[in-house]
Amino acid sequence: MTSTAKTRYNQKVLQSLYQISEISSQAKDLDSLWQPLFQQILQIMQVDAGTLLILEGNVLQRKVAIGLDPQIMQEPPIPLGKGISGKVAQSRKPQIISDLTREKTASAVLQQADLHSLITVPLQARGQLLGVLSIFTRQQRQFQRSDLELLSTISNQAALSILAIKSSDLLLENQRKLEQLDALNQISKSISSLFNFEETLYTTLGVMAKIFHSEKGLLTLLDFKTHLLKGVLPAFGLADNQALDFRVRTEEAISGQAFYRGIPILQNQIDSQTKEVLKRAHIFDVKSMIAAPLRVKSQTLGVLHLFSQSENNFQKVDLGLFSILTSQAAVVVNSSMMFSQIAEEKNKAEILLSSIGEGVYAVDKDLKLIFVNSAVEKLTGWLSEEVAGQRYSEVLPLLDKDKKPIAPEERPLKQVLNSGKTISRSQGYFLERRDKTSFPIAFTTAAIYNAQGKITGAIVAFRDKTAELEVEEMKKELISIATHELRAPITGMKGYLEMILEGQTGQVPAETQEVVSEVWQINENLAILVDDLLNVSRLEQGRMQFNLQPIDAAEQIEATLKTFQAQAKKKNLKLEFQKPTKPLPQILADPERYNQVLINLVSNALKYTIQGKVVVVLALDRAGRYLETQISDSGVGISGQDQKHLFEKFYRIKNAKTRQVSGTGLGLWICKQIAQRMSGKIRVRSQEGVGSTFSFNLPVVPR
Amino acid sequence: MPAVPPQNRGKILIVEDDQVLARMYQKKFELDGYQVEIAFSGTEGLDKAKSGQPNLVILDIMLPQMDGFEFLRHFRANPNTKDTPVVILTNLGTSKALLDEAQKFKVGAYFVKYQISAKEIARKVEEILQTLG
Repeated sequence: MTSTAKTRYNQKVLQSLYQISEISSQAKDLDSLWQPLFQQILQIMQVDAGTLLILEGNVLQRKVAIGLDPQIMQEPPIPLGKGISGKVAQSRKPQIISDLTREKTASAVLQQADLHSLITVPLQARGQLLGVLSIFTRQQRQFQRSDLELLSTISNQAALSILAIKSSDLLLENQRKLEQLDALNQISKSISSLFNFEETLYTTLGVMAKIFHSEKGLLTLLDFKTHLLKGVLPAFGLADNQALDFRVRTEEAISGQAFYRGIPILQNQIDSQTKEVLKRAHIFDVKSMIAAPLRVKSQTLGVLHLFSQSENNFQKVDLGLFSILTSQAAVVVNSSMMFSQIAEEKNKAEILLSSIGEGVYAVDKDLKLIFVNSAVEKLTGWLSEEVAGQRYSEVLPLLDKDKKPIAPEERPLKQVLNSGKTISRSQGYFLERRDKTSFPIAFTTAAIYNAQGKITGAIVAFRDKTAELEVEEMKKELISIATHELRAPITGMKGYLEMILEGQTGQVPAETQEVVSEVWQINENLAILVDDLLNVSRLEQGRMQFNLQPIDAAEQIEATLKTFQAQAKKKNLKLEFQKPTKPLPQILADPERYNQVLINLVSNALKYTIQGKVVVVLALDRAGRYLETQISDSGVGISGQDQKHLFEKFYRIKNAKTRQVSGTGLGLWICKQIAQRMSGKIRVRSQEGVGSTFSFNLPVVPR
Repeated sequence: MPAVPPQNRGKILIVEDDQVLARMYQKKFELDGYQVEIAFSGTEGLDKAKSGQPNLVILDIMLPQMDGFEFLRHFRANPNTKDTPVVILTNLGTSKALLDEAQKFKVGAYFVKYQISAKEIARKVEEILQTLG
């Protein structure tokens, strides 16, 4: 080139560069950058085509293709390292290809485009790779170093511009995000007072009004019964009556739209329906508004509104943030509502628990008291405020039947917490009051579960049994006294009947004799019953005395059997005592009680034996510690089923074969109790139709 | 064939606070031919013993105010009655302690009220009085 040509060329280049820098600095966004930029590039570089790829993630996305088949825009993004562009991007080194036909790595489209030469340069700014820029010629061209420098200069400019635009976009986005975060933060802070619905709502509306530069905010909630959205208090920037008079049908106005469409809606021109609603509520001077539904778990609770007296106060871009904030508000509103419901339920439960007479208390997993009803206060003398949060074992000590404290680890509540199995006890426990006195209780304790089925605590319901026990004692006393009082009359009757039967009161006709005999027998049975009842009564009240002393069982047996010989003879039965072959040790027992059991068993044996014999045997156990007295008969025997219940109170055998002479069902129970009180045991072996052996053992006097 | 009771076989004092029993025993012994007096307390018993001079006393242990043993102390202390035979009726059972106590006062027989019939008491009474002659 001549020097003038060179100067002119240089001027042109400068001009172009100037143009490019103008384009670059003025481009507001990337889209308005590419086209003019490339036009300039094609001109200044005197090439036929160009393309620009921008790095997005790990791939190069084609943004512009000038002078090329538009098809090329449909091609998939090029990964780093692949093809010419990918390699340049990866290596960050420009590449010049003079003869494309020889290049195998070029894309198909490029080859089809009939392009011959190219330069590809990386687009870098501030050390950051932004993409790749390529220019192409149809004719073969030997690109010079100066071409490369020129293109690089241009691409540097372009890169800087891209960076500037991107940065500014980022800044704007950041600013928005900061605003959002700030708003969320403010609302979150107010969540700490979550349990106060009014406070939370007011704060939320206030924050939102501020962010969106509006003066009024109102929450409406759906009334399920009337299907209306009704304004709730508190409202922001509105009087109470304005808020409460704001009522909207779910199909009408902007509120209705937001409600059933489930999206936020803004209106910079208020529609007539909404105007009506605002008029009804006496809300004037609303030029623009925004409304969003409050949704929680696919249920729409209501609609939140912001009103502004400025026109066009709200922009589309505000909808996103407004939506986010409204969903936050929804969670808050829902939680508050649920909490009020729970509080209401809790109140109801408390009222219920207060009204029942039983004491009810609950503990958490750490055994701290979380609830105590008013009955507990009355029964123990504690105030619920004093004991809340305390370890329950310190405040409500449990005592055993001897009024000794039960260790916390041993308490039924602890077991319930571990096993989850409900425990009920009606006797043997006392509860200590605040003043250290105690009273008998009956209680039930059960585990408390959370929604996931885990044990989170336990609950106890108990009642004061003092009155009950007093009544029980009085009952027993009464029975004792009454039966005692029956003895004298019965004995009296026996005496008189005897006098009649003996003929002492005059001659007794045969019929009278028979009848009076029956009465005599009835009276005898009565005497036995009263005797049994008195024994039972004494045993239950712990009033039966046992004067334990060494006694000779054989002697006792001999003496007792003598008194039964007459009875045995009458029934034609043999009654014998198998005397022990060698002397047996003495037993430790109360002689009267020993006799009582012996008499009962021998009497039974004779009663239930029709023919044969009754034999009494003494047997020493192998260890020599217990001496057993055995009464065997050849009577009717006892079925297996009956044997199981034989020693229970009031159990009588229902057997058609046995003649029920008497039989209160108490005799054997009494024998069992007596044997046990003397540290012995009683048992039966029997075979129906063969006979029975009743035996009771008592401890031998230790040497 | 009803037995004809011999007339006036002696005088018996019954010290028993239960009216039903006292009257029944009284009837029995009267049918048996004895003269019978009843006292419902220890004090009354001592008075009636002094004035009536019974041949035998049937004594209940459980008496109001003065119990049977205290009665016996006074009874035996009195030279007039220190040898009068006594038959004890009790509902307290036959523990050794009680029997020993009774022995101290030279009691002729010891019966548990509700385990014995009036017939048996009468038989014993007859036995005792006969041995005395």
